[in-house]
Amino acid sequence: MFSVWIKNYWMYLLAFLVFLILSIYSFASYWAQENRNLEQNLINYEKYCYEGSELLDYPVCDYETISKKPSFFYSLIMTFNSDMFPKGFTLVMLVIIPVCYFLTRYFNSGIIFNELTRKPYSKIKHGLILKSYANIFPFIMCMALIFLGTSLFTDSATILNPDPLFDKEYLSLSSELDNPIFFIVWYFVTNILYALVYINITLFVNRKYHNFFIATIISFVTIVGIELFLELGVDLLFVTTILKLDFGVSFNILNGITFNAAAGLGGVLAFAITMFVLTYLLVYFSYRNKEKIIMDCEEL
Amino acid sequence: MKIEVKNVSKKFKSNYVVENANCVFESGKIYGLYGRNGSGKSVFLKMLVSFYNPTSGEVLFDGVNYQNTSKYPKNVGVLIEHPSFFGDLSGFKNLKILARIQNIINDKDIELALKIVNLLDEKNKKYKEYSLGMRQKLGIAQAIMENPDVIILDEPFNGIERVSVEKITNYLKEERDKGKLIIVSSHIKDDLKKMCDEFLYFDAGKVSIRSDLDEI
Repeated sequence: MFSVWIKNYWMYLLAFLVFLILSIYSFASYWAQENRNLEQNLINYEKYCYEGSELLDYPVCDYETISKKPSFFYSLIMTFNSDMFPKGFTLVMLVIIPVCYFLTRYFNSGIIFNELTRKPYSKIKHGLILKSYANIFPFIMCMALIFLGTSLFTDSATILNPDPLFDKEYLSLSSELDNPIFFIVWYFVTNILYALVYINITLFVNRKYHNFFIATIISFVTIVGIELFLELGVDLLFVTTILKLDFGVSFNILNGITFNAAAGLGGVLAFAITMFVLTYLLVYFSYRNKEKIIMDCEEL
Repeated sequence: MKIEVKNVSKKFKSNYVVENANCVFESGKIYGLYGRNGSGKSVFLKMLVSFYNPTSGEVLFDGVNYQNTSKYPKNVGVLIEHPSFFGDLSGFKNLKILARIQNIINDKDIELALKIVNLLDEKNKKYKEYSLGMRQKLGIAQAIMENPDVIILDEPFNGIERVSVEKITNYLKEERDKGKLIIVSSHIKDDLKKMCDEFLYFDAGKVSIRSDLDEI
């Protein structure tokens, strides 16, 4: 029944390939630029860093600094902050499009009526949710490949450079990030949670809308709408203006892969978990009533 | 097997689609549900198999009420309203997907069901390429392939040619004689008269038991 499996999940595989190609292209572009910079730095070093030069005390004449490979972290951030991944929208689309395809195909077929006489509704419901969640596996595989690839090219022993011009200052990160394993696990977990949040929202939308294009557009708009509400309503108006606190910067469901941990790693993780739980509850309540699901399928 | 329908009503908004239905279905008989389109037959059948919950009353399958639960009455083959399958898969593959859920039949059993409904020669054709009658046949094959104790078919003969109707009718009679409980709905009297032992007449949601359809 491989052909049946392919017909259900070919979009998941396509999303994996697109994500992988975009990531490789993005990393390759960044890496080529990095090598050009390195070459230019060495030319400048040869040209300006002679004995008695006025520039000897500047970083441009510190051979160790200019010849250092970029850190793993820096390379990853640059890869996912390229034009290929504008504001994390690429990831959102790569997650929701295959799930919308899978769900609309299922609901439009009406096969649920035949399944309901063969297994309990709770099993059908959980199967539907788990099969939708399965779209994170290509994403996880892709991330693992990108991590592996990036670590081969960069200084994989450290996440941050010991003497960074960019890393720590730019992101205000705690020293916890100096542990590569901790960083990788944290990055994986938060991104998986964000991807599951997108899938939960897609499941919620597809409960009512069974047209692929309409469901995809509404899912996307809903995710962007939630993001705007969190950024403008919750963070800007409530947390920052009224409460005068700064942790609201974590309230962002789109910057998982582009990385913004300005409010701390714990804050981002707590927010991702909270959003996952809230959106799961949304799915739980919207799929609770078997009769309503059946009636929605009958309207087709 | 015994299905008891006790004071069952179903209301959509302010309209009663089925009103205070009372009846009992028992093994070894074919029951015919007769009534015009929109008279409440399909809604009644959906309540029987717990697709819908009654607004009031209860349906008992061998004494068990499955309404408002995630459970379902087992050993029941159902075709209600129109058949529903994946259009881009063949008829056979669609049945195979469903057969794998309970995993109690093999490919030969599926083929036997397709043979009963005269669809074996078209088993590898994609469902979206099926005619109305072929789709209906696949829906019936889906309902009977696992040899269920109860067979519920809603307007099963829509678009099916007479030869196949006769064949399916004979099959249902044989299954009745083996002790199965069969419920068939139709808006065509003659289809029901040929095989049914008892009748339920549906008229604007009101259900009455009849021994003969000619009096209607």
